[in-house]
Formats: sequence, C-alpha cells, structure tokens
Amino acid sequence: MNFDSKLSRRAVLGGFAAAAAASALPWKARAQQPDRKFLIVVTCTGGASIIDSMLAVRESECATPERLNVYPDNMVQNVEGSPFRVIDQQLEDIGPLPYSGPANQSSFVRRRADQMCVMTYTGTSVNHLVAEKRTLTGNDAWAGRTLQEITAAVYGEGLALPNVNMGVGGYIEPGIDPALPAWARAEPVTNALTWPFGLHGSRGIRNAPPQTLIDKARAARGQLETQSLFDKTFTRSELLSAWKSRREDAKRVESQDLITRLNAVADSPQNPLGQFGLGTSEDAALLQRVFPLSATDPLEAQAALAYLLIKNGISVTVTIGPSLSPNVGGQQIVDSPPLAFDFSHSSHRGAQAIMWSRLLSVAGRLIELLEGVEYGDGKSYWDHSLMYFASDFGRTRNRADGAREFGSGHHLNNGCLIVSPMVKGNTILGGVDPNTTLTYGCDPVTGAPEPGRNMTEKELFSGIVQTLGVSTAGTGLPDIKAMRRA
Amino acid sequence: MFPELRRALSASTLAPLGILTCAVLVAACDTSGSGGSNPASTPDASGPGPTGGTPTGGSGGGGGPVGGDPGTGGAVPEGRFEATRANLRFKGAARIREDFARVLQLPTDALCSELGRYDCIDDIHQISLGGVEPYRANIFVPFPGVAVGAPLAVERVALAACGERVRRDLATPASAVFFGRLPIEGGALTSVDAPEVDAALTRLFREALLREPSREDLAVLKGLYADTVAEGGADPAQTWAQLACLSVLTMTESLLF
Amino acid sequence: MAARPIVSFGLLTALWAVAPAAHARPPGPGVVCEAWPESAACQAGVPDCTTCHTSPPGRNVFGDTVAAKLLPDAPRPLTDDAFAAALPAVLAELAADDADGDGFDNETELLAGTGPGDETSFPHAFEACDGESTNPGWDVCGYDAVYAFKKVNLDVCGRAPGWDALQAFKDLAPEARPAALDAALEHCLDSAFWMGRDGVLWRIAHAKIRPLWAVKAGDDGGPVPLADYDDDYALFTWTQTDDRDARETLTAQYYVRQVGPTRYEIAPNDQGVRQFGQPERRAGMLTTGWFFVINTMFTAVPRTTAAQAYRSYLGLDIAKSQGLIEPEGPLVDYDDKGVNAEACAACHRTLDPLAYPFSRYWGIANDYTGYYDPSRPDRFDPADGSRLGELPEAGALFGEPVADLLEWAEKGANSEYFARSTVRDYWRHFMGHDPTPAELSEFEALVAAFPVEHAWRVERMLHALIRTEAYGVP
Repeated sequence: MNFDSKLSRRAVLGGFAAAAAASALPWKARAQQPDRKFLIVVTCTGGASIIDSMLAVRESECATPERLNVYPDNMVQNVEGSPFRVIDQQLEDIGPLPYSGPANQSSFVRRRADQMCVMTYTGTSVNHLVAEKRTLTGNDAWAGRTLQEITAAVYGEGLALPNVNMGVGGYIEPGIDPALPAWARAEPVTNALTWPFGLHGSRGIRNAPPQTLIDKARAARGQLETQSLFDKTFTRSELLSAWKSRREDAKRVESQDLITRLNAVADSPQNPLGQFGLGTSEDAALLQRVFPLSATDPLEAQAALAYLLIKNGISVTVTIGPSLSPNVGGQQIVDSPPLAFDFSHSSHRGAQAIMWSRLLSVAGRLIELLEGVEYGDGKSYWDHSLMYFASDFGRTRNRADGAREFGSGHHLNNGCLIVSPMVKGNTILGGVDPNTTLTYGCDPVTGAPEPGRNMTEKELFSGIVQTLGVSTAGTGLPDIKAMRRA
Repeated sequence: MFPELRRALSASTLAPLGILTCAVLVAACDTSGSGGSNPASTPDASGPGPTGGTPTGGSGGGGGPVGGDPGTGGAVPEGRFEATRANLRFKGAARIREDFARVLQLPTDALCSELGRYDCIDDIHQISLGGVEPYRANIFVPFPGVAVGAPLAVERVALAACGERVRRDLATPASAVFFGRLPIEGGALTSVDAPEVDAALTRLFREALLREPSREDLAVLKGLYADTVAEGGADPAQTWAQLACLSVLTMTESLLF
Repeated sequence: MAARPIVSFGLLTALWAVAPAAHARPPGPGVVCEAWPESAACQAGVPDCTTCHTSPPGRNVFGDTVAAKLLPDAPRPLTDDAFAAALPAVLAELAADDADGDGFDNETELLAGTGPGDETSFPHAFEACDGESTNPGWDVCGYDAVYAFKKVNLDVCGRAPGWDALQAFKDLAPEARPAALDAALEHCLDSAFWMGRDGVLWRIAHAKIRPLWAVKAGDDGGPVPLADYDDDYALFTWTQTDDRDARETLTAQYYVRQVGPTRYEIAPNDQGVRQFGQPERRAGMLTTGWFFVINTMFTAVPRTTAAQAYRSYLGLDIAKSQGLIEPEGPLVDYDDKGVNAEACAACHRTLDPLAYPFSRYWGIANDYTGYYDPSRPDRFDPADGSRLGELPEAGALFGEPVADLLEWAEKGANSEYFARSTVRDYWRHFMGHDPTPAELSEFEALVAAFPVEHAWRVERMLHALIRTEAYGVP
C-alpha cells in the first residue's frame, strides 16, 4: 500500500470538504467571493477528429495519401503566425443528406489562435458513453470527479446553479465521488429555451396566489411535516434530508428571479409570456442578434443560456453541445446531421466539416459576448474563462483509393482544442505523424514534441484543471505546465 | 475485523428468503443533504469510527450510529420507532403525473401547462422531476440525486393542478371532489371552523396522504386561511383552498414513498 | 474447446471478472472463493473487476497492494499457475489490512462483497429490532404489508391505492393480505403505467434499445428514417408480460406489434412491423432492424453491437472490464484496428469473438437492415480491413464457442447472467438501486429461483420480489 499517496488523497478530499463547509456561510457573503474561473465545455458529441481541423495533413506530406485521411494540399490552409491549420470548404451535401453551404474553420482560428492550445492525446475507450465521461473525468483521475464538478466545487460556492450541463450521453453523467457537495453537482438541462420556466415555484402559473401567500403555504407545509409521523419515521432517509435541503437551494434560485433573468424567449403569440406574468432577460435582444437561430437551433439556444448563466453570476461551469438529433428545417432541409460528429460513420468529411464549423461559429460568438462584459477587475468574463472542446475520441484514418468521402469508425488517438486567455496560445502540445496521421505527445512541462509518446486522458484533465488555477498538489496528477500561459 | 459481521454475512448468504440480515453496523450518515454523506470518505474517520468501535457502531469520525439510537455500549431500547432501511424514493415525473391525477381526480393532461400550451411534466420539467428523455437526448435513466429545480417544478405542477381542482369544485359543487361544500359567502368562508372545512381537509388528507389529518394538521391549515384573509385578496376561500392543497400535495409525505 | 487461462497479472481485472461457470474460472476468483466461500461476491457469481482495478490496467489501492506483494521479483507477466499459487498467501497476509481506509479490513470487505480498494464501498447491514415496532404507523421491525401495498400500487400502477382501497386492505385479516397484495400486483401488471408506451417496461428497455427519434422510421418517425424501434419496445414488453418466457427476449423469431394502449400481439407474417431479417435467422432483440442500425451501422466487425448485447441482456459491461472471459485461440485483427496492442487486447480477446456472430447481419442498409448475409464481410472494401474475407461467423460467449448468433443467443438466454440481469432490472425499479451488500442474499435468492421456480417468467418473479424484506420492511 502506498500510504503517502493515500494520505495525500485524503488531504485533497479534505480540501473539498472544507469547501463544502464554507458553503454554509450566508448566501450573500458567499455570492460576493471574487476571482472565479469559468469552465465552458463544448461537447464534440460523436467524436471530432483533430486531423480534420487544426492538425490536418496535406496529401503531399503523406507517403500513402490515397489510403489515409489527408486532404488535397490546396484545401489545407495555414494560419499565419500560428501552428494551426484550417480547412474551409463549400459543402454540396453531407454524404446522403442534403446540405449546401460553407463550412468554415478559419474565421475562428484566425481570431483566436493566440488563445488556442491543441493537446494531443490517446483515450482509453471507443464506446461513446464511456469515452465521453472519461474525457471529463480524466478516466477517474481525481476521485472520479468531472472537470465541471471540480470547477464548481472550487469556484462555485454560493452561486445559485454552479454547474449547469446541457450535454448528452456520457457528457452529462455525474462523477462518482460521493464526497462532492450536492451544490457542485450538475443541474441537467435538456431544453435551454424552456428550462428557465421551472426556476420559480409559482410565477407564470395562471391564477397563482401572490408570492407572500405561497410563502405562507410553504411555511404551513413545513409545520405539517414537522408534526408528520412520516418524517419522524423516515428520519434516517438521506433522500428526505436531501429533498429538504434542495428546497432551500430552490428558494434561493427563486429569489434571484432566474425565471426572468435566464429567459431568452421573446414574448410572442406563440409564447405569450406577458399573459402569464413572465418576463424576458434584459439581454434578450442582444442574444437574438448574436444567436438569431436560437428558436430553432438548440446549440444557439444553449450558447445564449450559457452566456446568461455566466454573465449573471449564476454558474461557473456550463456545458453545451449538440445532441444526436439532427437540426432540420431551420435554414435548410438539414442544418445539422443526426448523430452529430458520429455521422462520420456515413460521411466522414461532410460530418466533420459541418460540425466543426457549427461549433466554432457558436463558440466564437459566445466568447465575444463574454469578452464584452467586465468581470469587475478590469478584465472581462472571458479573461477568466476556459473553453474545452471535449470529444468522445478520434476517428479511424483509413480511406480507399483517395476517396473524397468515406465512412469512418472510432479511434482512440486524437487531440482536443482548448481556448482561453489562460492557456499558452498558438500552441500544439504534441504533433501529428503525416505518414500515419496519428498524433503524438510532448513533454508536459516544456511542451517539446515527443514522437512516440501518447498523452493520456489524465494529462489532459490535469492540464485543464491546473490552467483553471485549481491546485492539484497531493493528488498525484502530473504538472502540465506546457498548457498554461506563463 | 468484525467477527459478528462475518458471522452475519455468512449466515445471510445461506439464509432462506425472508430472513433478515441482522448485523449491527454503521449506517449511512445523514448530512442534511450536503451530498457528502459517506462517512468513510470523511477525512477524520480515523476517530472511533467503524473500525474503532463495536458492531453496534462507534460515535466518532462522522460515522457511527445514526438517528436516535444510543451509542456504543449503551442499552438498546426495547422496540423501535424509526425505520432503519428508510429506503425512500422520489415519486418522479411519471408517478407524480399519475398520482396527482388520482388524488385530484383530474385527467393527466389537465394538471398543468406552461404558457397554456406545453405540458408541465412531459414537455418542460421531465428531467428536473427525475424523468428521462430517451428519444431526443439519450437520457435513458434518471439522474441521481435531486435537481435544484425539482422542488420548484413540483410546486408548479401542484399549484396549477390544485387551482384547477378548486376551480372545478367551486364551479360545480355537485361533482366536487374536495371543496364543493365549503361555506362561502362573498368569496370568503363564513367560518373556518365549520364542519365542512374539516370535511374538505380530511378528504384531501385521506386521498393525498392516505391518512387522517390530526387536529394539529387541521389547525395549521386553518391558520393558513387567516393568512389568506389578511392578504386581502378578492376570493380568500378559493385562494386558501388552492394553497391548502398545494401545502399537502408537496409535503415530503406526498412526494416520497 | 476450453477457455484459455488468462496469464498476465497486469490483467488481474479479468481474473475478477470472469464467469462463474466452473470450466471458465481462472484462478483469481477461484482463489478468493476458496479462501472465503461465504463471500457475498462468490454467492453472486464473480467478484467484480473493481475489486482490484479502477480502469484496467490501472489498479486501485487494494490492487496496488496485492501487486506489490505478489512475487515481486518474478518477471511479468506472471504465468497463470504462478499467479494462482502466490495469490492465497498474499490475500491472507493482507486480510487484516484496510487498504482503502474505510474502516473495514480487506477480508471483511471481500466477505461482504464490497470494494476493499474503494473507500466509498463498505459493508452495511441493517439494525435488528430488539423488541417490537413502537411506531403507530409502520411496522418498522418486519414486513409491513400495508406499506408494501402502497408501494406496489405506486411502482406498478403509478398511483397510490386511494383511501377506500387502502382501508379495505387494512381491514383484511393478516393472513389474507398476501393474497390481496398479489391481486394488486396482478391488476397493476396490466396497467398502461406498467406496459403501455413509455410505461415502466419501456423505461427498463430504454438503455437496451437506445432509441433516437432522429432516425426512427414508422409512426412519428424522424427526418432520416432508418428503422423503427417501436418494434423493439413491443417485443421486449411482450416477453416481460403475462406468462411468457423472458428468454424469448433473446430467442424469439417473431415480432410483436402494439395494437392498443396495453395490448400487444405477435405480428403475423411481420405485418405491422418493419423488419427485413429472415425469420429463421432471428434472435429476439439482438436481430431487430433497430438494434443493427443503432449499433452496427456500417461496421464490418460489429463490436459495439456485441458489447451492447452483452451489457444490456447479460449484465456484463466490457467497458467496465466485466465479463472478460477469453476463448482459446489467437486474437486476429481482421479489420486492421490494432486490437492486438497490449492495452487493447485485454478486452478484445473477449469482445471480438463475441462480435463475430453479429458480423453477418447488415446494419444501415435500407431494406436489407438486419438481413442475414453469410457473405457480408466479403462485401466490404479492403480499406475497411485487409483480412475481412477471413472473418469467421463462429465466435465465443462465456469463453465457449458458438457457431452463430442463434447459438450465442440461446447460450446467453439460458445463462445465470441473463437471469441475474433480468432480476436486477426489476430490482432497480422496485428498490431504486442495485442490491446492496445487506440485500444481496434476497437478491441472489430471486436470481436462483427465476429459472426454476419462476420458469423464467418475469411476473412470477415479481410476486416473490415484492415479498422480500428489502421491499417490505420500512
């Protein structure tokens, strides 16, 4: 038994416990705590391939271009002043699906290269659900907590909803650490537009009594429960106490008027908010301009809600990303393919192109919004944020006879994009072997490329946690200094 | 090492169906919903804790016996009042829909809608209420724990459904379920102590909680009427009936089972 | 062909995760179960891989401790014999230690079936009553029939019984209450809440079927209609209801259509369903069009399909290193996926032979979806795998050979794993959690009775389930 490491682990858990204890402070006192960091996870649901974006390989660089997923030289653009590559193209279809339009990566990369870090890594599962979760837990690198849970536990105390997760599958699965404070667990959201309607106990309910009487009814309920034989009998039930605790959390949510402040839905005949005494966020018009398709595109709606959650001091970590459902009938017959990136099984290049383009576009707009709001210390919310494009895994590299379109499977080897003013920008941690298109790793401290080395989920996880300013001392997590801006 | 536990475990694996495993050990620690309720992961579990105590449980380290039992070495009282398994579950979206409809004798689609058009439970609050969304969001099993939005979503559904029940009861007293015989004049109860009030509340308790209300229970809800009158609204009787219904339907006794 | 023993200590996970069948039991579990035959994990079949591992080959603190003590000077990987010979002494030496520091020594945890390397997992038993219940509302010292009556109504009908029904139940003599409980269960088992669309049975089936509206065909279909999972829900519901053999979940060669809120019927000549596979090549839920669409898709070696079948119907999740039972013979990388790499082979030696029998069924292929085609591997492009032409149809389940998917399904359906997985599905619904160590004896009794007393009938098993103390003691 490694006693030292065990002690360290306990010490770390103890730190979490201390954070939980601090949450017992009065609500207002906690809400005033400064210097938070924000983690935005963008889920590349289905498996985004890094060699179809920033690490693309040209045919002329590869010994067997007809057999591997490499691109015609003229499709792969360099981004001046950065090591990244981009592929812009005009799509005429997504395999069998009708689609016509541009797929653009360059706009985002040119704008954000100095805040972009691509870290190569090789995962441990090609099962969607398992891989998705591991890309957030570093394969249970730190007590089985997700990156979002750690961020919430460290920076989210006192906030109404520290951790909001709009992902699907393994991206929305909770971690496994029972010591995590309940308030740091993710609040799941499946519909960004309608979810805020549930953030008040009575507003918007037709003919609801005034709030003062609702509160009286709640007080009466409390009295009834106090004298209830049921509550006395089942006093040992964890659920019973958890439910009552959540009621208190819910009151705080209610008192902050989140039903209004997080509502980006405009009053309309279809959604007659006014008739029901409901209002809309003061940022609704802005969000409508920035995310004009949010009424029909769930990803845009998620980004709008993410902005409101962070900007309003409600959350420190928000997870957004496409579901497996297609987006249809917004601007075209098919705006986004079913299965998201996993439509690559049918049409690798089309699916990768459209999904990368969608995610970068929405993410770019969200970043610009956050840049426009001062955090309070002379810096913007974005200055305090890190955006992690989490992918299930990579995709298989082979193709037949130089095919322009082909299906791909799941592959452990990949790389991921991290964008933040806190990361070392214009950086690729590792590289790609043009003759195999497989990525390789780097020295985690210096960042020097090391062909033959594969970075792990744990190292990726560690780098993100550390870049967010969370101390990992005593956890056994490696120092990924190469990711952090000096 | 716990020889008693070993014996109990050995016995339990051989025991016929229905024989209760009966080792006396540590039970889960109630941390009032902090979520960190595992005594083993509490750093200071090095105290008397599970290993340091006797099979009846220690008293330190965040673990130890739970509830009102005496601690180590104390005399165990004859008989028991508290449930030891206490395996309560939240009714969740599907059962709430069915059971609220049963209690209030309303069709499930008349319980609650958001903006007058979206079903509260199926369309809007399904996940908050511990439900699933398999077809579009790949949520095949409910999330563990209680969502922050759950108590609020429950209240919204109950408030809307209770409002509808009260409205129907007062509109058509002949087919009323609970409140049709309330002594109302000018929107107010003629007397909160009228037997019809007790009868209405008794019926509500019986259907919602499957028990009779105690005298104290009735007093609490009658006190709520006084609050309602003090608020000065136009129809205090109707408002009070809705609030009383809300209070009862959202009790832990109604939502957990 | 006997199962090939697993030899690497680095793959200790596999030792903890093998089948209980005597022929396939490698030394690890055998050693544990010889040392502590009364271990709850041994009663349940197998100690779980998490006994020693986090995510293989990574070990938890207990696994690390064992590894450090186990022939430290011997070269790795250890042989099977060396491992088996050395392990008992190491386990004995470490018995009194508390590797995970949760207050329970390793031996106690192994006995209880909890994780000696997981501080969040520890024995937990219920306090016994010393006397009688003093609670006026509940019998907290024994099986409370009234409590159970309310729960059965909620769990199976979705609704509490109502005041009058409850009073009638309370008025019954104690000896009449069990029959009334059974009657309530029977009544509710026919309810829409139980067997209707989105009812309990559908909810149990969600994770097995993994529906996705976007590619649903048929009624209320999505924009890219590929297959209709309504057929899957109907077949699953059919096999779980009335006096039907639940094994037909994996062996049915018919399909079922829903003809009313709570009415289902076998689809004569496939009328009313959307299936294209040949009847004689069908294996219940494993060969529906939807199962192949959502799992096989376009892949030549349908590992995802096999893993989903293994997980959903036999309760063995390869992603969690469960059920790693290797057959004899080398692992061949037919589709050039690199499965022989050391980190991959630990799972693929089990997974790939598990998948071969699925390889003859088409995935997404329009009207050929789910169609059995012996030549399917030959129809792939060489780029999909240089040796696909050699891909066998015969594979292995539980380390034993199976000629095709029909044999796979037959063997799986008649296994203890299928029984345990089925009972666990319902245990979760009725208890809200997996069996705890303190509940394990009652759970295992149900598993044992399911194939025999209950003749693989779910509804019969449920009558026993609601009589358990886990369900009826408050």
